[in-house]
Amino acid sequence: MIKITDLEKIYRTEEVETIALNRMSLDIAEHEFAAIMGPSGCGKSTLLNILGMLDKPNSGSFLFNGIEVAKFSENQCSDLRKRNIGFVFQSFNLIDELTVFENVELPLVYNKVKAAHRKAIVEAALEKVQMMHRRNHFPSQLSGGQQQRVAVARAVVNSPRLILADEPTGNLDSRNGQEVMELLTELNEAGTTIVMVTHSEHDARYAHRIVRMLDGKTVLENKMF
Amino acid sequence: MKGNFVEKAGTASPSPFGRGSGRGFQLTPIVRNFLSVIRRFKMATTLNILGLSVAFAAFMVIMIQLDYDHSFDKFHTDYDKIFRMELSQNTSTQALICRPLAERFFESSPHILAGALTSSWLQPAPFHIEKDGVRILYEENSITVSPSFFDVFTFDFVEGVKGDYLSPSNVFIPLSLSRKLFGNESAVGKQLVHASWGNQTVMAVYRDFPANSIVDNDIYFAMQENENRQSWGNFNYYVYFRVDDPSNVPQLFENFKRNFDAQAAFGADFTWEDANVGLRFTALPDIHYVTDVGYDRTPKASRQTLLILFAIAIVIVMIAEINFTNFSTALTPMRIRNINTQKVLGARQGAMRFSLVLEAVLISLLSFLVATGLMMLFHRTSLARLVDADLSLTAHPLIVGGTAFIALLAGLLAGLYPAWYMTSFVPALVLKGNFGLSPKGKRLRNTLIGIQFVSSFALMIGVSFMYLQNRYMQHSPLGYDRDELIIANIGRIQQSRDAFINKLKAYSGVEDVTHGEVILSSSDQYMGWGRAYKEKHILFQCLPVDYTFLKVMGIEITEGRDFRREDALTRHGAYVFNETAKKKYDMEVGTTVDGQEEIIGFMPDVKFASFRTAVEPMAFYVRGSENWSDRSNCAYIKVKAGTDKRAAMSYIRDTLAEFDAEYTFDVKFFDEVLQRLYEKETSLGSLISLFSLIAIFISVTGVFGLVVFDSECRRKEVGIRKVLGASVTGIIVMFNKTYFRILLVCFVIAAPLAWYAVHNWLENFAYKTPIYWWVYLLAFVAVGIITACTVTFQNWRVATANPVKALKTE
Repeated sequence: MIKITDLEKIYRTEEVETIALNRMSLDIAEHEFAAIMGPSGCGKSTLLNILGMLDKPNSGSFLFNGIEVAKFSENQCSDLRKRNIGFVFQSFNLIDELTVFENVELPLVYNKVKAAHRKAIVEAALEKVQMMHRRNHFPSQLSGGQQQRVAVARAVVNSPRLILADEPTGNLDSRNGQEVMELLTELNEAGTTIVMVTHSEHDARYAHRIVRMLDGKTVLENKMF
Repeated sequence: MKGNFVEKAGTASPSPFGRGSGRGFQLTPIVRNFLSVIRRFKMATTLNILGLSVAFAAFMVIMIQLDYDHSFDKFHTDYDKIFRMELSQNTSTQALICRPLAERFFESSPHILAGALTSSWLQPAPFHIEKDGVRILYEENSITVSPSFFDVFTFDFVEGVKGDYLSPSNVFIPLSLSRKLFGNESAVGKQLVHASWGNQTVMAVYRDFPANSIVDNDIYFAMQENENRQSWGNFNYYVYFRVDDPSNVPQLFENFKRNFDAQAAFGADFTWEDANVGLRFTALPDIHYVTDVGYDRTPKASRQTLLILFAIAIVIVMIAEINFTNFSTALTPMRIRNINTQKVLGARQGAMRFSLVLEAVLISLLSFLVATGLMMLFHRTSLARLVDADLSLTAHPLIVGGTAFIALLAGLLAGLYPAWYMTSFVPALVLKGNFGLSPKGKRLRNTLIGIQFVSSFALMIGVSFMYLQNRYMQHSPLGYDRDELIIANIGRIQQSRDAFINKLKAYSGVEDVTHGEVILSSSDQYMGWGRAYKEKHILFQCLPVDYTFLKVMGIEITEGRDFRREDALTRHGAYVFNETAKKKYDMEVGTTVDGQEEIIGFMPDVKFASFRTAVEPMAFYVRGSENWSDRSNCAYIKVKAGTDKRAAMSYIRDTLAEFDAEYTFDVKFFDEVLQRLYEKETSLGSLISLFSLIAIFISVTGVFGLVVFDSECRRKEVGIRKVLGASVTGIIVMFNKTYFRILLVCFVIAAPLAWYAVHNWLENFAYKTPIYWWVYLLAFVAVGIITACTVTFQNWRVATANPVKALKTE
């Protein structure tokens, strides 16, 4: 599903040049659950951002479903992204002014799903993460674990083929963290490809494969199964 | 620009708390803190100082103008004991009185301490003085008064004394004129040489009156001892008197009626009641405001206008204060982390509150200083002419001091709430959590923005109608041909009038020339003539003209005929009346007025006077051979269409110079006459427009600032939305929608308010511009466009930024 080859990402400021990705290559197959691990600053988040088409590589190739997207315009990326990719963040990133329902509904709005159809889809997603009873609450009224479950519901609501998770349990206690990991596993078992950045060896064990990075490169790949 | 609005990471400010000292706070760190805040929030500070200083300056200018009008004539000793006598008949009142009536009145009561008359003819009189054997020509306003004039009003004599002999040949002049004519030499004993009146000797010099007085700085000389002394029909004088106690004034008229033999004066069958005649007394300070008095030429102000200006002054300061408060609270989330870090490090709450309030007060006072600078700048521009009053700061210590006090209060007010609010959190909580915007603060800000939008709409609509009304008055059809018209005052060459006219007619660019005694549409009303018609007393305004007048001016005749040369050769002359007179007095062609002056025709109701007044009975009159006066002073020169009007104008001037080389003639395009007629409305309109624009400008500054702030605070939200698939356009539309919702609500509130105000203001005019719906639409579109531009411009960068960056900032 994803094939990156010789991907390079360099951040430049006036004084320093930081190489975030150093001619990195990686393949991720359809239905795979991959965990990316490595110390702070090794390029995990940069990789995830490029996979999510939120950032562009300086050079190299990025095939998404066989399509070269490295040179896509912002609008093309945006189009591809909103139909195919869901995001789960460490800090949940729910919009404070919107209710749980409205937060989950947002990707459907941007995918131009008709209002009449949206309700059922959102409710199904909330049901899946067991947050239906909180549909009219605001994020500030929820616990961290509940917020992350809403964020997961939002990530899956338009049935993406790929979910990118950036330390999804980083802000959660172990019990809530486990619930979220189990949710992701369920989604993966239902057919969604998942790429997860994590610091937790425990969480990484949910994945089929662990990609270990250092200084912008893959250093080791462990097959779990 | 935007980066400056938000606290820059890593520029921690020096802490405001006294290091280890037992005292609550030390000043130096507070000052240092203040300077660093200004540096950090450059844009907010700039917007604050800009808005506040413009507001304070506008406030001072308006207050100075209000003070000017409010203190009009109040510097006379006993100003509250001085009154003007007016004559009212039926529904109209006039300021002109006949001399014997005034003098009998003065004698009628011991409460009247002094009474004086001034001639209604204030005219620029040309004269010359001899200086080192050289004749220098001047032209200054001269007016005849009764010598008691100086007992009624308070004159401050610099040279000579009030008791000095004033006579037709002895004059009192103002100090400014003395300086102008004689420099630093003493003026007393100097001669003013008039071509027609002979020599006048300067007897005394008085200190000039301020501009806000009905007493002008003119050359005063005495009227002839017996001038119109027994002329009961000659209403030609303004009459003022001073009493011992204003509470006696209401009884003066009754008392006068009891002691005055009215039948001897006005005829055997005269009674005050039947004639419906009465005397009215207007207190000196009120003269500035009364507008229902005929022949009242004193400068006017309307209390309503002053009220509008006062309201605008308040609105301006309020809007600026709202901005100030808004910015202060808007910056709260950005500053709160810093403040709490200081708290954690041990800063005292009191010291920090003091520092925050002081910061606001300092900004406010700094703005006040900038405002005084702006005032001085304004003083030098041509805009200062819109204000009658002297704008120098030193002349108004009270207003300047008062504004400084308001600045202080504004600072306190804007500083207190955020100071308490920002320092009231438990530090640990805020340091850890992600402090967003409180919905309460957001509501408050939206309400305050709302007030600004409402004022902007209302002011914009009000100003538009003011402009439309002025335009309507200056550009509506008048019923006569006013294009290509030049007016020349030829009073000085009366004897050579025909020669002058013939010379002009010979010029190829001139189509025709006529003349009349007054200039059409130059005044609210003209000389009123009381005559008998069909055994009834009729009153109409009469404009004596040349027989060619109607033809040249393109005024049609609806019945009867136009004037002919022969009319001027008849003994008593002839009238053409307007439709209103015809209807009101049931007039017919061929009948006579006063049994001798023939009505030869009728014309439509041309707008001979201003649009403030409704058309009244009026006549053009061609004087017959037996006329008591021929003051056909105004030449109406019609220039051929397509001719260079400027060239024609200079030809006219050259021709006039051939008849009198010394005199500078008043020659002007007719448009200028109309401009002068509506000068009050125009300058008032400009004044109100100027200050409204300022109010709108400050509002926009406020909206701009908040939009910047809002978009900064919503960077993360925008990031999330973009990750979820929102387009840049979608984000921009979303931001605009928020503001348009507020805009719409405000418009719904402002529109009826504006309608009500405009409707009331238009009541001042007999002829009103329609209240167009599109003005409202225009105001909405204008404010909408300004807002949309601000919102779009400010949010463009946020909307196009890489969402990754926004999501990274926690």
